Amino acid sequence: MKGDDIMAVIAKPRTGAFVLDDKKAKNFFKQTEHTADKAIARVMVHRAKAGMVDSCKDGKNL
Amino acid sequence: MEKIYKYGNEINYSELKIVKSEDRNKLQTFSCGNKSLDDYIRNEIFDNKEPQGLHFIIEDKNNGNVICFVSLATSGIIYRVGNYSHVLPSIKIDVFAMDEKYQKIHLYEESEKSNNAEEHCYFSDSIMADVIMHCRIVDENYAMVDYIMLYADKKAERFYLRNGFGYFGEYMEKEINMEINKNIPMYLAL
Repeated sequence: MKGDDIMAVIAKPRTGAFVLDDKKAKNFFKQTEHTADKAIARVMVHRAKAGMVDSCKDGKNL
Repeated sequence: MEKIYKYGNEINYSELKIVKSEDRNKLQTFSCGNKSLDDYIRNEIFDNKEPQGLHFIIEDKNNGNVICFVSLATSGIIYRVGNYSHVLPSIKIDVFAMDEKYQKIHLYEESEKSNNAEEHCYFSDSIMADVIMHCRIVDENYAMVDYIMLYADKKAERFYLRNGFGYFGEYMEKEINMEINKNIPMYLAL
């Protein structure tokens, strides 16, 4: 999995990790404020774009 | 301070590791740029009989450097409305200090080139995400925690805002303590 292939990886340890498309990811970001989910997800997206795939293999090992 | 890396994605680093007495030597070269905090990390944590938190380090696997020092403690945010008060269970980040060699490093090239600050992501943000995830593990496995809280130095305010922390709400009470008098109380919901 390359960073460019990933639109957004959302980390939600309470419910499991999942991958969203860009539009849904943006809605998710708008709906949540000052939450760990949002903070972790933002970094995960950047890690994926940076090619740090070991951090988020298939969006499941977050 | 000369940087070792151009981008954060070049850095192979450890998980959070509890500081042990044998780590004292390797911490002698750690410098976050704040002399009093450096002295605390290099010496006082090993001498202090009343520690303020549990101390962790993250190490660079390539060269053994200490990248980050973190001190965490159980705490609470006092939530008071009139005569009603309640303590919101929290983990307090008592110290979050990055070595200068690892500060202000973009995670990857596109982040550095972007003119939009919202598209920026720094290596320190990635480390903070690991700290947040560590707190989440505590919440889900050891003791319920609703918030992460901290008292931010003014210089670090933007860093914490970028990483999802917000200012205390109107019913959240700041501790009255000379050490944190000038700091900004912030929180993040787990």
